[in-house]
Amino acid sequence: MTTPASSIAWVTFASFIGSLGAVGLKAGAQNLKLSIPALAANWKLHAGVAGYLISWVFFVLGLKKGDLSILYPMVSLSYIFTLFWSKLFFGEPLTRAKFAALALILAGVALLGLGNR
Amino acid sequence: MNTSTLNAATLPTSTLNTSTLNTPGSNNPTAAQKRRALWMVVAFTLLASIAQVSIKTGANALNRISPGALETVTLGSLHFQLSATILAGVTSLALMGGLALYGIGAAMMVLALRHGELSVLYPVISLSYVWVAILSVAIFHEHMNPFRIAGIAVIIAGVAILGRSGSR
Repeated sequence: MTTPASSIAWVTFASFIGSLGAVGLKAGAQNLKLSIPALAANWKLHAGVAGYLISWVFFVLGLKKGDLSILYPMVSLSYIFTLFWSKLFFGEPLTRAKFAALALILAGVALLGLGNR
Repeated sequence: MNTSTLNAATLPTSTLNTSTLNTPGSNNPTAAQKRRALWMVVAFTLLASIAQVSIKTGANALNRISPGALETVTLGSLHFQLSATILAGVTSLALMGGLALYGIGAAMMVLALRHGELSVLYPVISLSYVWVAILSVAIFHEHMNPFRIAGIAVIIAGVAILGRSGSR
């Protein structure tokens, strides 16, 4: 089964939006107060959840056509985007261990994709 | 060594005592808090994977049901004749349970992000690929193959490296 470029583009875009959703969740979690009014006013958290839901819409659009064993592992692209956002927005250090771990994870997800064929 | 680092080094017991009083969202999480955050994400991935399988089971069963018909359900060597309405109720329970698990998992993820680094915790979500692979072999009787075994091992190795750098 061939995977059209449009499906790859949708899933990549979905991963990008999803990684921004993760930024929203992290920003909202940092000044988290567990009371209903505080949670209702936590717009960063809401933006994060919205980002996730929107990313799912694009993901489903991408999944309409194409090979799941290629498209499903592509969601892990969001880990790469998130690594750079965490440096940019939260000043987290980008260590060699994190890059090595990410490389292993991406390789493992690709292997699982091959195993699902 | 300057005096400020000496002062910090002489205060380990007092910081230990106040660590339990740390306000939520504190920017200096303790090692224990970071470890807890990591385990919460691991638990989140397990919940999300069970949710996914549960939703898939519920959705598959719903597709098979024709209204009013009798359905044969096989549990081991036992066969049950169930009315379609009862089966629809049970499968929608599986669907609802799956969605509820997603909700609980998402809340745990947010609580974990309070104390952990995003760049450490977020890629740990890749463990859900591992759980789904294991569950699909255990529940849907798909075959384990060398690619799947290698994939599972390599992902776990990557997450272990993250866990080591994220719990210090």
